[in-house]
Amino acid sequence: MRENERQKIEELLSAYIDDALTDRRRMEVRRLIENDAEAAALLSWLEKQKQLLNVMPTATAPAGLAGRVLAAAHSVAVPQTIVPADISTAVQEYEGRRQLYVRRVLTAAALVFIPVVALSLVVWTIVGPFSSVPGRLAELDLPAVEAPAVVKPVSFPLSASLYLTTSQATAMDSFIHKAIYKHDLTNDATTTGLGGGERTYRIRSDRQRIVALLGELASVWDKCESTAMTVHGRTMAVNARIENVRPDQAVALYEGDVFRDPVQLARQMSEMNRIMQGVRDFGERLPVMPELTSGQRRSSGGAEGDSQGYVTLYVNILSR
Amino acid sequence: MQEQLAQINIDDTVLVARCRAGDSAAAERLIIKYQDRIFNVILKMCQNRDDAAELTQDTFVRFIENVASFRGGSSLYTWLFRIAVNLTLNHCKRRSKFGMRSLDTVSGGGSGWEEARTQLKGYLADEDGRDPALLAQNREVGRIVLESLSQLDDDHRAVLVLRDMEGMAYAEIAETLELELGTVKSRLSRARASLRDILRSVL
Repeated sequence: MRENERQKIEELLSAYIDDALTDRRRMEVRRLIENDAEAAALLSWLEKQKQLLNVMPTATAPAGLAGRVLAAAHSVAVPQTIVPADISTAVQEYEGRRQLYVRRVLTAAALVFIPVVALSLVVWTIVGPFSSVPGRLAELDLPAVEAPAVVKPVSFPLSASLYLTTSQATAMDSFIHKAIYKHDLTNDATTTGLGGGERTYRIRSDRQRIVALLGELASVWDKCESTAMTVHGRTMAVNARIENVRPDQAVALYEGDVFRDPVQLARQMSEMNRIMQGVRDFGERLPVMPELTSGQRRSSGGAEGDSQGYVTLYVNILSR
Repeated sequence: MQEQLAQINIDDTVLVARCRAGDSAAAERLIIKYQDRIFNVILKMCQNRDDAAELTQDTFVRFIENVASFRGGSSLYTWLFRIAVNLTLNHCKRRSKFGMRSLDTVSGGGSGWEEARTQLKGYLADEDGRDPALLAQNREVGRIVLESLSQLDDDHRAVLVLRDMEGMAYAEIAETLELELGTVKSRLSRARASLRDILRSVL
């Protein structure tokens, strides 16, 4: 068989096993393998080779990949300004001189201002229209002073993804499903199957019910090989990931002060877990974690104050 | 109860739009959805777990950086694989340029090597009706196949991994590798023939 011809036949056989031939071509190949033992053996090998490649074991991506990607994307999005060494030195010298000048001016002003103010107070105490005797102000018919307008603080939105990596993904899925039903969250939840027993739930509801759900999940926390939680900020670039997140931490995030930035809180928890892990590595005794046994956890005042606002929780079950 | 939960499989387009608006939760969902498939393709192409982890991370970082330029002309699936394959092929080229390709021959030895070789030969030569899924569970068989795969040219390995391991259609491979459909067919045929020759020489 000439090389050219052989190559053409191999191409036909390759397309045949992929079911990528026209009916006419397919018939030609069938006739060929019926009459040519060499071509039939070649086709059999290619088919078996393809089947084998198709069933080769697959690997799982390293844990925590998403968190690292988002962190890396953030660091790329906010590049550090690179300043050449000589310019940098000149800028630093200028900054130093400026700060010294400002400090001297402020010192001189303070030396003049403080004695003047002190003297004025003494004079005012002696010759003022009334002394600071208690009750004296009340006797005066002064017009009511309007209280300054209180600036209402802005509450933070809260969206977080909880990752539960377990070898019992199906059982975990079933438990979460029931917990959602139990806490009347079925209308607030959507779910997506990711294959291989893995699943993501998106739950958007009020804080109390999310806290109750997390309290329920605490009872299966020890069935997880690893846990993590990513708290999402207002933009993609701002988020915080807590490795080995504990149930009480997850709950604390959702029942915490609504006017406190949850990303900031998550960063503190992440740092705390990192330190605790270090301590644990040295085998030292750790304080006992507060135990959550029920979904009926009482929420704090902060969470109650935000009872009308919605928060979002993604629960991701990852198969080990 | 199953029906009470809305079975909403959020479309990639929606997630991409949310990503573009700066929603990190959407980005995270997309990463989780595709990370294992991307990681597997890269791992089969570069044959090194650490490199594969790094290249997978780079793929998704590149995706987030460029999500604004994704116009939806191709599917997100092929777009992500295009980034992954291009990064991996560049990595492979750099590695071979600096003589860092570690697997120059399919190495024998080790317990079970001979047995795996016999089993694989019997299966491919159609001498026994062994189940390929069971055969692939044998660690030594897997090693022979993957090391043989690593002997292929980078371009041949890419097309074979995408078709026979990832299960991509010809059109998707053409889009991912930015090739003509005819080129995909002929390259795939040559890749399969080369792998067959390598396996025959090993077995």
